[in-house]
Amino acid sequence: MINSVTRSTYWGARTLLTWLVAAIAYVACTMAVPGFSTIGNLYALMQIFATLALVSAGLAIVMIAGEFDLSIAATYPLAGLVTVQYADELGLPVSIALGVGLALVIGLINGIATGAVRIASLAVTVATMMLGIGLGYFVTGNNVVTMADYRPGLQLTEPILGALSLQTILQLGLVAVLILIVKRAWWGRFLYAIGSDGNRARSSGLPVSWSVTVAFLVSAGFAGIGGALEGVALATGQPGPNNAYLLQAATAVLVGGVALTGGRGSLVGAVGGALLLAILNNGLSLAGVASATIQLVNGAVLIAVVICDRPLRRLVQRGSDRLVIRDYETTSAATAAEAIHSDGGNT
Amino acid sequence: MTLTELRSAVRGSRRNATATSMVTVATIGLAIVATVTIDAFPTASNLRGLCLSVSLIGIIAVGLSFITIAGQVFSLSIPALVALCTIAFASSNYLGVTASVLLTVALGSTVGAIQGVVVGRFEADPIIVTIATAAILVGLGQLWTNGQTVLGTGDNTVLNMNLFGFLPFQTAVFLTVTIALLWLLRQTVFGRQLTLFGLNERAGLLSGYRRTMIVTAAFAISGATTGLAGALLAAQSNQGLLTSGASFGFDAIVAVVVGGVAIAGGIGTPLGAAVGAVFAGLLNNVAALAGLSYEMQLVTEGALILLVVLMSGFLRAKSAR
Amino acid sequence: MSPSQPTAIEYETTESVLLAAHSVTKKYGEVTVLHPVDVEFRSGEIHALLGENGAGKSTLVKILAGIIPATTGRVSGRAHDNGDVAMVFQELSVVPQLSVLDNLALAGRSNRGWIPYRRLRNRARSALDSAGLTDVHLDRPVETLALAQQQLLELARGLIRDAQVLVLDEPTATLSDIEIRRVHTVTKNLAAAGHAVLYITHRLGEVMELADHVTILRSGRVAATGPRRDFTLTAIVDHMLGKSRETVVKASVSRHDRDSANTLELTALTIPGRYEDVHFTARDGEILALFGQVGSGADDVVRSLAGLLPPQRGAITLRGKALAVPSRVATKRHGIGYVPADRATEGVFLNAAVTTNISSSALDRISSRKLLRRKRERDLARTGANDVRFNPERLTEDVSAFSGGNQQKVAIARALAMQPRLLLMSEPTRGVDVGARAEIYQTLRQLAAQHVLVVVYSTDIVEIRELADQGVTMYRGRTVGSHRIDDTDDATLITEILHGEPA
Repeated sequence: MINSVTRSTYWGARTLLTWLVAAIAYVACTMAVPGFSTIGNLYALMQIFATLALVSAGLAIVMIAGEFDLSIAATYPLAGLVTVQYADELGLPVSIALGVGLALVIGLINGIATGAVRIASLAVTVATMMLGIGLGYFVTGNNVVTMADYRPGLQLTEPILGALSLQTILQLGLVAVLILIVKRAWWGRFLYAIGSDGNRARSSGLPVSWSVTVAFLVSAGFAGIGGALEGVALATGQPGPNNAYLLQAATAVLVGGVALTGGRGSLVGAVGGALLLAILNNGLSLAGVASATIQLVNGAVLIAVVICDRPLRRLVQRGSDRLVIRDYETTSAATAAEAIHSDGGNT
Repeated sequence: MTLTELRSAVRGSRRNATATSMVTVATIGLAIVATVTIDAFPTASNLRGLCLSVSLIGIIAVGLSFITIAGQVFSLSIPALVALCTIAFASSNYLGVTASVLLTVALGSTVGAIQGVVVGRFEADPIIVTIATAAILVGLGQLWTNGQTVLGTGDNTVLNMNLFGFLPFQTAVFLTVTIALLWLLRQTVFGRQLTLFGLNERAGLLSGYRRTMIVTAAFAISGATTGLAGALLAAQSNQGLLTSGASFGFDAIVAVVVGGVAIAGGIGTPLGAAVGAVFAGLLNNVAALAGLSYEMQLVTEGALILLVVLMSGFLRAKSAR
Repeated sequence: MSPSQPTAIEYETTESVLLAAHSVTKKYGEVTVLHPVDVEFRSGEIHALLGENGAGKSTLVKILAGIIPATTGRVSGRAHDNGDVAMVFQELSVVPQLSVLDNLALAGRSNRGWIPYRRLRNRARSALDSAGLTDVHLDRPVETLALAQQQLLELARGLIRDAQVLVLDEPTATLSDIEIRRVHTVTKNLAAAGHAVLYITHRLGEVMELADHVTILRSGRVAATGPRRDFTLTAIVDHMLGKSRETVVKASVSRHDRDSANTLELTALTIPGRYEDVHFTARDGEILALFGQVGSGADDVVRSLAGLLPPQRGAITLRGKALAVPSRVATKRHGIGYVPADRATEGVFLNAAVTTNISSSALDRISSRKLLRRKRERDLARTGANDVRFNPERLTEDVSAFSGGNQQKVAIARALAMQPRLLLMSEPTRGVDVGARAEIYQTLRQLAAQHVLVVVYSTDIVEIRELADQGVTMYRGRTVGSHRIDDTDDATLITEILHGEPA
């Protein structure tokens, strides 16, 4: 029998590894970059981390189901733009609802097209990404938009306990709720089944269309909420795609062990990846590195992660293979023994 | 190459013929409607502009189709690569037109090949690798130019001239590249290997196909055509900058998808991508002429593309049943 | 193989009929897939459903389970009215990354909301125990289970619903004898507990051993039905094929025609953890079969020879010269052809024409200077189709349209197109009906006579008997014995693969 330590280690190996590396990165930055561990910087770090974690968690859901959501590069800024643009006219709560609502509409289109009509998510989300970017330009008339009343932004970002803020707490809270739901609700298990083999899941009678649609709604919704909150916090917005966020979210999710092929990985791992990336970017920025270079580094990190992914997975697989063979031999020896006794001979 | 072989190459596989013919019909339909309803459409200057933009999108798209047919989905680093190549062309323009075109194509295919090696040899996901490459290329471009425009100092008139009085050189290049790549895919051993590899990678490997070679070649071809398009784009205005060709990435993807190249791989041809490019370019042109502001153009384009994707998905699902 | 006598079941009146079809037909457009079929499934009975591929088995079963509607006729019975029919398919449907518990939970009717984990654990545990997986922990990720255990998990997924009628579709196709024994025990227990078991299988030996009642479908009709004791093996085959069947006589190649230099020799081949110290020699004019359970390492040896799994130690010689197998590209160059066990994912290109499939491994033969020559390709395909007895009229169709037997013929033709010196095959006729099976065996024997070395891996003793001249048994990664098949009895071979010692 495989003992419990090996079992849970295999199951959560990648997740543990991610959080471990994040911890190491934190220590490294504290030592290498002056001012990194000050309360002020930790606040900045949490701001970056919370938003990235929110968007990454949404993307992770979609990836676990075996799909991909390119449109978050559009929904994230779009929600912010709509929120900022209409805040003065319609009041903040309505404009936030509008922004997030618009994001959800995009998510619904993604979900139905991918889940029910069965079009490849890459094709659909490329189209909705274009649509979203266009909407962003349309809503703002191709201008920078600002919000006259910047007090809500201040409330949102006011430091709580030094490093946190209302914005951070809201976003991390949403992530925590999602993690809980995925672990305990049927929908969560369905996502893994669908990501593992969509056709089989469908023929087994699992509600694939509905589950996938919800996944895309979550992804778009989370990106929308993140974007809307960011819009309020900054009280300004500029139309155009936010490819940097797509890149970072994808990196965070992959680092955390969620596979592009679907059916494997955990949200906790994706959040760990977001933390790692936030530490990296924050540390580099604090050290005075130019933003273009930081983007370059992000790209390089992503390529490194992807190159190392297979060998890493193979390593874990080989370890488990050995355990499996050993385990199987013990059990089949036991049953072979019992077979001889019960049968008294062969056919 | 015999006439029968050319005919069989053009006819393509039965499967994607419906999608390609549908797009052809849609394109012709749209062209007819535009000619009838919009006065500014059938003018010489507009048609020339249309040809130019279609050609550039098309050159990129037929190269991109190799990546998709090989089962590697898309390359999302095309906008960044186009921008970088316009800069490279303008920077090397002083060496003469031919030299700078060759250098730019070489740059494009090298960047493509590097991505191809990472995807092929290390079995990394192509979408992710190309997203990452885009970030790296943008960073490099920023460091190189500091956000400034680079002016080309060569004589690029040959690239911008009209052959036979009416055919833009760049369109001739588009047609030539399309035919060449179509022939490469349908008539050579390499092309067959690439198609089968995209259709079923494991079975292809069992047949002794080399993954690294196929994937690297596909990305290199796409990079080369992207570089070519970048050079031609830069030659139009004699300058290269980071924001050049930002829309081409999406347009090329749209062209490939709409043209019947299956994202799963193994199905479709560069000809389909070329037809898709004509459609995408035509769409852009008509939208602009109809007076839609840039913002509205993007919205309608996105919506229409979504519609096309949905429709082709419906049709494929129906025929599968 | 002498069948064990099942315990006599007393038939009651119609109350015991859990599921029945009355004059059920099924038409798709103009095509009639099922002509009027009447069949009954009683509680406590193991009812074997036999028939070649295309005979209508899966259509009938789907109608009985209520998945698709019948065109005319009706289905009756308590199980049908309550939707109480559970189906266990041949392919694995488990989600590898999820735990055993989650997979069992998913097997139940899908629910919304929260998963009732506490209640589920007990039911899952008992389903696992019934399937014989008593020492598998509920929280283990399924991918850490061996293949045979995953197959038994499939069975557990069918059991957890505790349905009155359980349909088992080829439950033992990929299992070896120990697991098969377990499945049989579970099936018998289910019947004894009052369930009805619908057992679909190609393994005729199983039918004789296990079934209480037999129904044979042929071309959408019931060719025969009745208690198992009314049938003999030959009678069953006759009903399935509809004509009297000649037994395949193994034509062996005479000594003169053999090329004694044409041998494949393995010495001390080792991959730690997969197989160790493997020895055998395959000779010209003979078919060598590797015989072993799943996990015996035999399939890995074949994959190693194909170049997909480079060995760490040991030596291979082909025709007296050392052979290196570092990659598939290299082995192909040496003239080694390979037909894998997994047809759909590796053996053929499903969405391509037969012609394209056949030429896929021999592109250099249909091209000159790297340019494809279509006429040469068509000729190659026609020759290939003839070699494997495949209908040359259907060369332009997509492979996905064909039955398992025809697909396997295409897979073989694909390997033969490269004119191999050595042909490797894993599970040559898995999922292939009786008719096509005989044709494939004929093709392989012909190959051996043409100085192609043929090495196959199989877990089916009947197949080995019909096909091979020499048998090498393997157990837990080691070769146990090497025998002339015609001179050895089944008991010896089976003992060796089950216990690892020469009998």
